[in-house]
Parts: sequence; structure tokens; C-alpha cells
Amino acid sequence: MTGAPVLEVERLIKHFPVGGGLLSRRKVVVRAVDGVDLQVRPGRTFGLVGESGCGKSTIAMLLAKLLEPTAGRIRFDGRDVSGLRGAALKEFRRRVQIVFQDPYGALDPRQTILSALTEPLFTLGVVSGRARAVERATESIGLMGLDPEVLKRLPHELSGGQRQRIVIARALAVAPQLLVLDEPTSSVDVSVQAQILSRLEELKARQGLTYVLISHNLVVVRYMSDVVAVMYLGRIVEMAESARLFASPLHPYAAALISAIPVPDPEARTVAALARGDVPSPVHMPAGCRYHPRCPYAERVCREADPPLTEVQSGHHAACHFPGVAFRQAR
Amino acid sequence: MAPPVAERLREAARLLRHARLATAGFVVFLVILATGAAAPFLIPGSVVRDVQFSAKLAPPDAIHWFGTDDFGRDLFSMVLLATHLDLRAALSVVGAALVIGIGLGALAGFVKSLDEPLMRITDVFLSIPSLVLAMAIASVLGRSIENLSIALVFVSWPIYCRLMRGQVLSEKEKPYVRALRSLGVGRARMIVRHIIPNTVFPVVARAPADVGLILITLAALSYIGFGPGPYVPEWGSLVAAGQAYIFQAPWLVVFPGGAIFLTSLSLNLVGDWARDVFDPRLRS
Amino acid sequence: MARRDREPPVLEVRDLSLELSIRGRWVRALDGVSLTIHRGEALGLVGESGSGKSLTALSVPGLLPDNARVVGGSIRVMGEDTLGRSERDLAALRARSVAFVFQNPTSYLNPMLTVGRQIAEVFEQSPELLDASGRAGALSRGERRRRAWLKSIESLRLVRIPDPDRIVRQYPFELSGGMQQRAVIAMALARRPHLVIADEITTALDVTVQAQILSLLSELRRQIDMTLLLITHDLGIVAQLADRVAVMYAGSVVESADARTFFRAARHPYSQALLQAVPTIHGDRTVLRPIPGTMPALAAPPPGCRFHPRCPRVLEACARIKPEPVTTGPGQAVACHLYGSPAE
Repeated sequence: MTGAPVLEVERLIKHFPVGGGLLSRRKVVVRAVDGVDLQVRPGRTFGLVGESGCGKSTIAMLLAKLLEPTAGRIRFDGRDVSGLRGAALKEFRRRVQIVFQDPYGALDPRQTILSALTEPLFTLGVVSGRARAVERATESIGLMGLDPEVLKRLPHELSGGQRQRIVIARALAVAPQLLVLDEPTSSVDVSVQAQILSRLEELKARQGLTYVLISHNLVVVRYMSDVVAVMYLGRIVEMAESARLFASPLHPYAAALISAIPVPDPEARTVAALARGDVPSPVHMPAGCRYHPRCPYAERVCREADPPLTEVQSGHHAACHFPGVAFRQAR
Repeated sequence: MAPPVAERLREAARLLRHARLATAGFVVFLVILATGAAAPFLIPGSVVRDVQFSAKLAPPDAIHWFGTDDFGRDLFSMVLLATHLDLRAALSVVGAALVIGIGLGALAGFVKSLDEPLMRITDVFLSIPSLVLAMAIASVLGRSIENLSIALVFVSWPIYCRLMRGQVLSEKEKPYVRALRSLGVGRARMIVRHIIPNTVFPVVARAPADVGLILITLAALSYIGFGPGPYVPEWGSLVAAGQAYIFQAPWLVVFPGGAIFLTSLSLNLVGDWARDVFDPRLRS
Repeated sequence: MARRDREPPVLEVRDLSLELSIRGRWVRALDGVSLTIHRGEALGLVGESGSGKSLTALSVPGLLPDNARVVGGSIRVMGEDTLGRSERDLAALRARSVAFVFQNPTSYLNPMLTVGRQIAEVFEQSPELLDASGRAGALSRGERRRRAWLKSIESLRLVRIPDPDRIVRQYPFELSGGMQQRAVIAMALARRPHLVIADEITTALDVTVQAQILSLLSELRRQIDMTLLLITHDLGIVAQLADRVAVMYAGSVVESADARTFFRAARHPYSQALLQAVPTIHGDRTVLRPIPGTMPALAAPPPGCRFHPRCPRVLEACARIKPEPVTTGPGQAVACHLYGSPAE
């Protein structure tokens, strides 16, 4: 199911100024997103994975136009989205929806679920007339496997799993084309996660949706994604088709992430903690390759030169001076 | 808005049953309120001018339940009329201050360009002691109860503005605000339909106690001579007038002073309870 | 391991039942929970939110919230009863025998004291740790502080914190989440407690840091013969660290077994469903099989077996009678009618 990409991101950069103020001369900048390129094809799921501080949540906000980029371009359906205003912006918002991680925080605590679902239908001009809106809201709730009885409730009367489903239903009710999912199941239990993920898979096929899935949970990303990109300190360090990346990661960080996941099988080889030290903060960037302070395979060139993201094998990109080194040494 | 308010009222009623002090305060205040409301119908306003120097400073008896004041007027009638006047003044002052403070505070919190100027203005108001400010405004406008009320509105709104601004600033960062933005909710709708309803209650919960404070401030103004004068029945001026006769006719101070005390106390109890209802409930 | 079984278990929870006061009503949150941990063993207590695993853990050192009350059963630590003891006794128990490590290390470290000072305090309060010959009382205060400080550095080394001489002088906010958690673990281990309870200690950490902490716990278990009660919702962590597994659902233990048996042949339908609901990273994209329905609310549990409305192998008896745990092998128990009931 390929075609022209639904979403194209070019050299996306987002820097946040931090500290400083009237009296301080030094301006510290957080380079949250520092040059990201990616393309999402229609009907596919693009998975973006990384630990805290890697910039993935910032990318989610940028894609949903809740933040404006410092530099770079985002193209949706071929059109540049910067500078969208008024009716065009509304149209964009209708077609690109975002689901956040915190299902409790994402709902106005004083709004009934029905109101929470119908409000966007009016503000985005999806339906006219209350009856039609209520109908649509009920449909969406049903699609996520919830009883319509839930519409009369307030958020705090419902469980975390129900709230997360409602937040997804709310996004789906406006019939978007692209759904950005920022940690959609991180706050729910395993069994609820399974339900939500399989439901999302069903809906994707049925309604021809495209997903950008952002998560720190590799297992979830593996399950849902067609293409996966691994982020570290604001950059993509590896990108490939899901199966390929998980079978043979080329970048040492990707390899470390994958081997760090505890496998529910006591017979499996015990995890070797391949990444040293702590997850860094994006305020102080190391020189050269950003990963080198934690990389067990770092050489001199890694400390001096920052490797660009290159296509090492067909369709498999990595930003490393020695791609595949983790595997060669492990054998 | 119906379901959250209904549920909140149910919780409030449940809490009331458990908090007997607050219930007592509530009841007392309601009685005072009813008295104040009924007063103009029970007592003719002419009582104020019913000066009878021959009957002045008489102690409480069967005819004059609270005795008579230094002009020979029935103190009970005066206190009752004052109830009406004081309550109306205090409630309208707090009401107006709330509306202005909440409105400006919401704007300051939500619209960054308005924040700085509004905060500087409130800084100015807050740096002047309230009594001095009220006196200054009253001396410009005149000393009627209406003008005093206006002066007190000037004194009261900055606090509500600050409080509201703080609430709005933190509420703005909450995930649901971001989510609603991505769902096409514009700024005006965001402030009115979402932010204000979620932030206004802790601010409003202060109001009952502030009504008590305004009453005391009015009394203080009268006491230092900035009051509306002996022909306007106001608790504070009654106390101020009675102060000169405190040993001969203590009832002149006791009854109006008691009224201030009782109203203030009951309002404080209700205010404490209101804070308990509105603040932690939101966190649950 | 068999040798250890003849010693009294480090922890023995028998038939523990507990109620919580929610909005004025008492609701049964734990119903007949039993588990046993022997010296040197690591038990993984697994469950989703609302299963009661944290409550069970908190009741051991007496750290239950005010709205909880124990209504039945017993807890024995090193053979001694802990329920109904005074707060002072419990404090002593927490100091000597049971150490609790919580999920969020930042909240449990005093932000105003250096890490070294906090760990040293633990040592200063137990002078016997500072002098092997037992003449601790004879040490001057200054000497005690000096030795406690050295012990503090040693503790940091034990938990593999790099550069402990420097870290010992830092404040918690200067350390990353992973380092803070190591420091908290160091504090917990300072008095070499008989039992360490770890409640979701890696949930708040990034996955590479989590791997380091899990690897640390593995090493520590071997190095100091640590007995561990590990509370988690993550079956992967259980597989990596635990010798034995106990699964909780809606306030009861539904299955307990050794890890190998559990992962290869779990018996209880909930355990099986849980294993199938976890997506795994290897092989082809696995089909996720979600468990239908949701965990029952505490206030309105279903009659009989609490899992029966969601159970794919439900029997007629399940809706009427709550199954008691039945021993199905050495160290294995299941609470399910499919495996018979004790009465038979």
C-alpha cells in the first residue's frame, strides 16, 4: 500500500532557549530536535522510539502543530504546513490528530465524556447539528469497545484504560487521515494495552489510517510498526523496516535498547547492559558522535566526527562510523 | 456544567453534615442575611432621624431591646438597618472585586502580552495598605457608603486577580489544554469554557472570609472618622460613636460590635468549609 | 535450595485479608493472600494495577496507608509475627529486617542532604555495624561519623556507582534517576536486611538504565545472598530476576510456581492470558491476544472466582465458589477449579 508519502519531514530542528534572562549573557539552548528527516507512507505505521530526552515527544508536538519548528519543513499531503492559518489550519487539525500519553490529564475534568467528544466535532466543523454530533460520538465510543453509558460520566469516574480509549475515540471521531500516538499505552496495564493496540490495528486497516507511533517501549513499537526509527539526543540514529531493525540493528544504541528489554523467558540469555552510564540531557551535547560517551565500541573518530545518517544497506539507515559493530563483536 | 455542579453540591451537603461548626456558621449567617433582607420592611428608615435627646443612652429594656444611642434612637432598629446596609455593601464589594479580579486575572494568565502590565498595576495597588488606599479614594469621591464601597473594590480586586492568574498559568500547562488546542478549540473558547471553570473555585472559596474582612474594614474606616456619618446606620459608625460612652453605656459598642463579630465569624467558618469542599475535591 | 527449605522462611504471609476505606465504605482489597520466601530466594509478585500486589508488599513492614485495616491472616518475618505490633516495634523491624525500596527514588531521598550523609545516617544509627568487635559503644562520636562516612562510600561501591568518592558528596538532584535508585538501594542494603522488598523500582527509569539496575540486582543477589520480594507488572523482569513467581488478581494469589515452570506451563487461565497478552520482540510479529473485559472494581467483585467473567475456560462452579489454592506440585499452587479443590 504505497504511494506518495502522507507526511514528509525535512531537516526538522527545534531548539528551546533555557535559562538566561535579563542579566545573564550566556544563552543555553536545548537542542530537542536537531535535524530529523523522515517520510511516512499512507496506510503504514511509522514507529519512533527512544528514551527520555531524545526528542520524540517534541516531534509529536511539532507534527501536530502544537509547536512551531526552529528550522526545517513539515509537509502533509505534499503541502508545507508552516504558516497555516484560519480555515486551512482547521482543515489540517481535522486531518492530523494526536493522542497523548496521560489519559487523565488529556480530558477536561469538568466535561462529560459526551461533551468532550462532541466539542471538537463543532470546533473543527466536522458535523453540524447536535443530533448528528451525538450520533458520531456514540459511534466512536463504540469503535473503541466502550459502552455508550460512559458518555454521561466525568473523567474521574472512569479507569485509566477507559480514559485512554476515550481519548483515542475523540481523535478518531473527527475522521483524521493521520494519527500521531504519543505513548498511547504507557499509563495502562498490560491487558488493557493489548486491547487498545489490537483495536488500533483493526481500525487502521478498516479506516485506512496512517499512524506515527511514538514510544519508549520497543515491544509495543515492534508490534505495531512497519518502519522504525530510533532516536537519540535529537537525531535519528537508525531507521529501517521493523523486522530488519529488530533482527539486526546496525547502531550500537539500537542494539543496546533492544538487548535491554527483559524477555519473559527465564531461559533466555541474561541481558548484557551494553549502554554505559546514564541517559544524557540534551543541554550538553558531546562532541563528535552523540552516543560515543556511552558506546562500548567508540574509537577516536567517534569522538571527533559526528556521523550522518546514511543508507548502509537497502532501506536500512544508520548514523554510525562502524555500523554493525555490536553484532560483529558479540559473535 | 450541570453534572459537576450537582455532584459538587451533593459532596458539599455530605461534608456539611460532618462539619457541625460550618453548619452552625452557615445557619447563623443565613439568619443574619434574612434579617438584613427583611430589615427595610420591618423598620422605617425614618428611625435614623428620630432624634430624641431626652431618651438618650437608655439601657436595654422592654421597649428598646438594645437600649438607645447617643441621639436617643432605638439601637435595635439602628443595628437592624445597619445589617441591611453593611451586608449589601460588603457583598457587592466582594462580588464586584471577584468579577473584576477573575476576569483580569484570567486574561493576565492566558495572554502573555497582558501579563506584565496587569501585574505591575496590581503591584501598585497591593503595595499600598488597604485602609490608606480606601481613605484616599474616599476623600476624593466623598464619604457615602456607595463611595466607600467603590474604594473597597479597588482595594480588593488585586488579590483575586493575582490568585486567578496563578491558577490560570498552571492550568494552561495541563495536557488537556494542549489536546483541546489540537482539536481546534480557539483561545476565547478555551478561556471561557475550559480554563475559567476549572480554576475559579479556589479563588471564589476565599470570598466568604473576605466579606467578613470588608465588614471589619468598613467598621475601621468609620472608627477613624472616614465613615458615612451618624445619619447612615452602619455597624462601624455605631461602634465608633459608642466608643465615647463605653463605660456609661457599653451596649452601644457591644451590640453593633457583636453583630460584626458574629457575621465575620460565621462567614469565616463557611469560608473554611468552602475551601475544603472546592480544593481537595478537585484533586481526587 | 532444598537445604534452605528447612530453615524458617524469611517471609511467611498466611491468608492475609485487608480492607480499604473508600468513600466511607470498607471494601475488601486483599482476600486470603499467602506467600512464602526462603532465604536467598527472589519471589516475583506479579499483577496489574488493582491486583493488590503493592498493598501486600506494604503490609509486611507495616507501611499501610491510614485507610487500610487488616482483617485476617498473619505475617511472619524471620519467624516473628508482625501484625498488631506497635509502631516502635515495627520501626525496629524496618531497620533490622525488612528494607523497602520504592518506585520513585527522587521522592524518597532528602533533597537537602548529600547522598553520602543520608547513607551515613543509617550507619550512625546502628553503631554495631561500625565495629566488628562489638565495642561500638566505646567509639567517640567523631570516630563513629568517620567510620559511617567510609561505610557510606563502600555502600555506593557495592551498588556499582562509578566514582563513589565524588558522588558521595553530591546532592540527589545532581544525580540521574538511575544513580538515585542505586543510592536508595545502597541505603536499603546498609544494614544487610533479611528481606528486601522492591516495588516497581525500575518503572520510572529508561530501559537502558533499567537493564543496568536489573543486572545490578542479579549480581547483588549472588554477592550478598539477598532475599528479594520483587513487585512488578513486567513479566520480562520477573523472568530475568525471580526464582519463583506469584500472580495476583483482584486481591488474591491465583498461582504460584517456580519461574521456569511458570513461563513454560502456567496453569491458571489468567496467567496464561497474561503471558499471551504481552507482545514479545523476537520472531515474527506476534499476534497479541488481549484478555476481554476489565479487572473488577474492588467495591463490586464478581461472586465465586473473581476472574470467571473473563475466563475462557470457565466452569459452572466458578460463578458460585471462590477457588482455594491447591498444591499441584512441589512449590506450585493454583487457585482454580480446573485443578480440583482441597475438599476433594
